[in-house]
Amino acid sequence: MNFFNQGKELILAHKDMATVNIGKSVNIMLSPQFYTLKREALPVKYAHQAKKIAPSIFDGLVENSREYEYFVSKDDEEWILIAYNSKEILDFLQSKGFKRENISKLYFAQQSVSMFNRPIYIGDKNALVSIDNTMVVIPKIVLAEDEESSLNFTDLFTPKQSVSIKTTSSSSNTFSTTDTIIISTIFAIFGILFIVEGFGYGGNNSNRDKFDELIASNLSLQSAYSRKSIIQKYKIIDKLERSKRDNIKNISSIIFKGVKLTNLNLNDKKIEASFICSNKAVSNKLKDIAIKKHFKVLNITGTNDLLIRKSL
Amino acid sequence: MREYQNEIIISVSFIFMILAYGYKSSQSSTKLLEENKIKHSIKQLQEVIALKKLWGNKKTSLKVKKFKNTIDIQKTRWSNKRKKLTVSYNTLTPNELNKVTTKILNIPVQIIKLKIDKTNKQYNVELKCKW
Repeated sequence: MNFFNQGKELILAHKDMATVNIGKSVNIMLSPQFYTLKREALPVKYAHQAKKIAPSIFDGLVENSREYEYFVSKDDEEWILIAYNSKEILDFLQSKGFKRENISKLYFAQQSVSMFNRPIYIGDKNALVSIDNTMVVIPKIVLAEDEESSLNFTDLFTPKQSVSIKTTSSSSNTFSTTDTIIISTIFAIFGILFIVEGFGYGGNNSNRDKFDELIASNLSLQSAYSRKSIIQKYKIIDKLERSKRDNIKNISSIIFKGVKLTNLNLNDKKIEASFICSNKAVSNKLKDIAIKKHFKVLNITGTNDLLIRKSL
Repeated sequence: MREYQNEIIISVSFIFMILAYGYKSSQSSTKLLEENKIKHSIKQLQEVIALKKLWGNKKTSLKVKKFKNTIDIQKTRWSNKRKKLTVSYNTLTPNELNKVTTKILNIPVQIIKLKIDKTNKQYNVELKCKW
């Protein structure tokens, strides 16, 4: 993981390189001494497919006893396949003074082949050159006279695609120092924000003030238990008394022309009313209305009169 | 240990963030719980106050006293003792009956008994209530 890869120094690693003393994060470009390259026209479309079949292509070319990883890229119609051993590369780099945490990205010299328009001397005897679009290390001695001046290796050689060194049990450092600072700062800022927000929850509470005000003006209702028992007591009264009043209103509302109230009885358990109806039609109409208002209706035998009743 | 230094720093800061988030969440849920509890208490309190104001109102006795004057005293038998009223009316006209029932229904008293009987074209009423 690297958020700020740009601007990092690119160092060319080769077998004859001198020991370094670097305290910052750097990118490494590997000379062909650290990898095996093969060009193949593969019948595949995507890099991940090429990567899958890469081990079979390198069969016999690399030592089976070592664990290899593969890097693939497309070059016109051909695939460029690179086999490399992370552990071997890391061991070499550490032997040359690189700290694991300072190695940011790895690149292969082959990736920047177009930049190598002239040789780059590596060590006293060898040179890194591009021959037929392939990077190779050759003895300096075989170079033509006009190629004797070395190309200046700069950060401009940095390709777009990189590989990371796999973490092994002996060496683990997924995050660079810069990344560590950035990530842990972000986490810490969030942490502080959460704590501040958490403290904020302990602030003023308008509901609490309202509650305190109500209690102050009704001291007898301070206890939740007494509130509950008072509510229970009054709710029963409220329900029953409202029901009594509603039913009396209902009875008075069903009196129309031809209907006369003769008797009404109300107590805590029931309400009962008797009516005299002038004829059968009036009696039936009254009956319908009373039923709609949920009264139980009884005919008084031999007359058109009705008795209506409801439990409270 | 030094090799894992960066991972350790990130892990520690991450754990700090998670713990802070836990703290924030617990504070938030505690506050929410408390708010709900207070809201419920306020609702309960307001309900008690409203019910008490209606059914336990000290002015009810005064209203009952005024109710006595609704009907001519000649037709009324009145007994009001310790917040208990027993009243009976004789030979009420339909209008007077309406007056009595309308008034009593609008006074916050507990109606224990209401008995209306029609004799000829007049009504006899018995009413018992308390408050």
